[in-house]
Amino acid sequence: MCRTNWKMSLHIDLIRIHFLKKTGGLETIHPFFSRMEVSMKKFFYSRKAAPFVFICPFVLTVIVFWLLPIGKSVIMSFQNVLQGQTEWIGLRNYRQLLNDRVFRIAVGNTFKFTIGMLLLLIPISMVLACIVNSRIMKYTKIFKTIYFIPALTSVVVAGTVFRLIFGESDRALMNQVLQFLGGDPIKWLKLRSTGYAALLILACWRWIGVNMMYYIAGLQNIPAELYESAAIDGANGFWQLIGISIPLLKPTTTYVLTISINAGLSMFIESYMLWKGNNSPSNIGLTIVGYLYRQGIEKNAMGYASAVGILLLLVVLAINMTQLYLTGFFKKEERS
Amino acid sequence: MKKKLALLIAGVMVLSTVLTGCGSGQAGDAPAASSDASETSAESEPSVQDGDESVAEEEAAEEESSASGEDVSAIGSDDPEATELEHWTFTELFTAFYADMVDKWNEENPDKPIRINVHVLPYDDMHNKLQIALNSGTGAPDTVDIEVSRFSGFTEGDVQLMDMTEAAQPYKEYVVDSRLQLFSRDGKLYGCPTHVGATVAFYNEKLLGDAGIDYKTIRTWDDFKEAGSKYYETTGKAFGNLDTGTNMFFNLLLAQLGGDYLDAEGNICVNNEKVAEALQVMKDMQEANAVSLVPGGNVDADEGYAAYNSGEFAVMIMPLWMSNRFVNYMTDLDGQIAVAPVPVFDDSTTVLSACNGGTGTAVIKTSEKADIAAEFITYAKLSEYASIIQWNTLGNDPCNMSVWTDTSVTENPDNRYLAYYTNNPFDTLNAVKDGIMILDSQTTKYYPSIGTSFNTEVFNAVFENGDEIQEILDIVQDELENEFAY
Repeated sequence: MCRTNWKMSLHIDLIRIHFLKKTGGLETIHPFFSRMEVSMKKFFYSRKAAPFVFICPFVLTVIVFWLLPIGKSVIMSFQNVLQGQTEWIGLRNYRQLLNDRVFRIAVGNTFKFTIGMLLLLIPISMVLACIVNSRIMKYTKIFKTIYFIPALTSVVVAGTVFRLIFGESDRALMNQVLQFLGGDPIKWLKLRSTGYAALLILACWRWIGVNMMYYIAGLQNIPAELYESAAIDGANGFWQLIGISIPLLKPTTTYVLTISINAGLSMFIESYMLWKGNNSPSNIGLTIVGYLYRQGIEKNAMGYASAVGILLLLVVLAINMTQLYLTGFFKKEERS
Repeated sequence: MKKKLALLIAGVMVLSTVLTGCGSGQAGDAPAASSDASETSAESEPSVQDGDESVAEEEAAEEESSASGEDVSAIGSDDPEATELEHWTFTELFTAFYADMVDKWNEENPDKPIRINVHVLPYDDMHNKLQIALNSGTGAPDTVDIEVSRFSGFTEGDVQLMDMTEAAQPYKEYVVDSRLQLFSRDGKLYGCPTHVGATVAFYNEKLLGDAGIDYKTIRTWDDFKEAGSKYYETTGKAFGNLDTGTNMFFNLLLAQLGGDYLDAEGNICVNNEKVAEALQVMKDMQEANAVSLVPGGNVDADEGYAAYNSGEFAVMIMPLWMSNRFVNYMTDLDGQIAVAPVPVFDDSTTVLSACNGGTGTAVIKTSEKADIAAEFITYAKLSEYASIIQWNTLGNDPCNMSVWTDTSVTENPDNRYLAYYTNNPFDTLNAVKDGIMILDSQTTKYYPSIGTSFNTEVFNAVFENGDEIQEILDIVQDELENEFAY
């Protein structure tokens, strides 16, 4: 680590010297620049100030686009927000939320989708990554591209195509498959179970490629020597996977798990597109974010929607923190 | 070799940047759109403005993929003194419509020239942007098209829309009153309608003729049910539409029964007898096979059009703005569809049609140009000329009734909507003229929530799952009471 830093700073110094030689130094232009350069130099080389300067853009972004909106939402969740009129209503929004049957449906759906996604997305993408990354595999680039394409496809297009695939008429693709297999056509997007399956398939189709890329990156960080020595000790491919790949992929898994939980709990667009809008039959595809959208945007109840948002934030934080704690994320990193 | 390849890639990148630059440059300074209305409509898709929430959103969402950002067209007078209005809309088609109207206005009012910048934004974007602009008090346009299902959201609190009652006065006696009511709150007109959206019956004369049914003999819902059963027995195919995703048909029945989603005091009460009765009427018709569930739950969507186009259904109870869907999406039925008034319960039924769907054009009251904007918007939406353009280009049933008897319009040989039907839709409009109604609840703040609950839960429970009517109504009533408890 230390060595690279030293190299870097040498490199920067060389560039500076080259630049100053060429221009004859800034002081030839005006003495002011010379003074400025000195003070700037002092500032940037100061061990105290420089770190703050460098993290400043990030901190500002977080404050302006994250903390301020959250703060505003917290305030709005205690208000009834109308055009030109805003009144404080205390905990009403939250009380109303607790009695809201549709909100409970939305929460139930969201957790079901999240769990389904975790159970499918993590193992499948890990196994796919191992297959694609293995030395026996040919044309790996083609497979990587194919699996990654869905992530680049517009969800709007994908949603429309999936909706037609899972259409109700007997000419829709899935119903044709069913009929070919001797079954009767079903209303895929109207039944709870099949609607859930369709949504999971859409989500998996979209995200497996992304997760696979993370796992491939993780796998490539594992030194080949480990596999070689394991092979010498007689471990076959399966035991190499169990004994080397999976344990050493733990940081990647932690990361993928975290973003998958986030993606699951904040799922919205997939459902919105699959059901042509936010109103699925009997709310089978309604998610928490979908409910927030319905209240805040469709019904103009911004205060109530803020309460939904705050609750979602707390739930996501609680789940993610617990999970990160359990996976040892917060333990101090060992110094090498 | 590698060098050449790199050069080629670099070249392509530079070229694409340059070309993209050209493309986006065009939007802002595009000259006034040519106002050849018939040409526009020939390649046009059905307008978004009519549908209920779900359809509009779906189409808007699809638009979103292609329309990144907004598209502005400056239309109207070149006079530097001309009043410049900023207008937001979510339907590309309206640009051509406003181009027509602005030209006509400038011709008739040389002393008050107008130039209008029409900003076309995706459906959701536009409504959300407007909501934020009005809530925060900055950034709103001068005039805006608001879809009916979102309209109530803008008439709550300190209403930022201008009261156009006075500006609409010259046209009021000619315009269908219920349609104005739909965009009025407490007697103040906040939006100008685009069309009537009168619910009518579309009969497929050919299919019915093959089954030995004459649609002209269908007068009451009992006749309808009988004919439906007979048709189903003869052909094995569905007769009328039963939607689970839209309440347009249901609203009509409810209005005909004299019911509403509210109680006598105007409080929300969706579990009342009349609502249950209307659901039961539909359920009975479903059991008699006079109406059947439409694929996708809504006739006004891809799967619905496909089902009708292939002859799986023979009758459709929907607003007359379906005309542009028929002409554009159900082309195989050309020359087969007759338009007739909807059936009634008995001779005492006074409601002969119901207004459904639509877009209200509003003026923002804080705009400095609000007065002239209101004058222009009422002209552009309610005048006779506006109605003629609406009908000829978009096939929307015009809200200015003086057009309904103008033979140059009703018998216009060049109109492709008239050519499509086997009879004249204006005969139907004139027949139901005095019986076009809306539900009182449609102008309340409850309505968007009622609509959502019925379109997602009630219809699916009753018609798909066969649940008890009263049970689901009670559940939904509890839900809505909780929502509006405070």
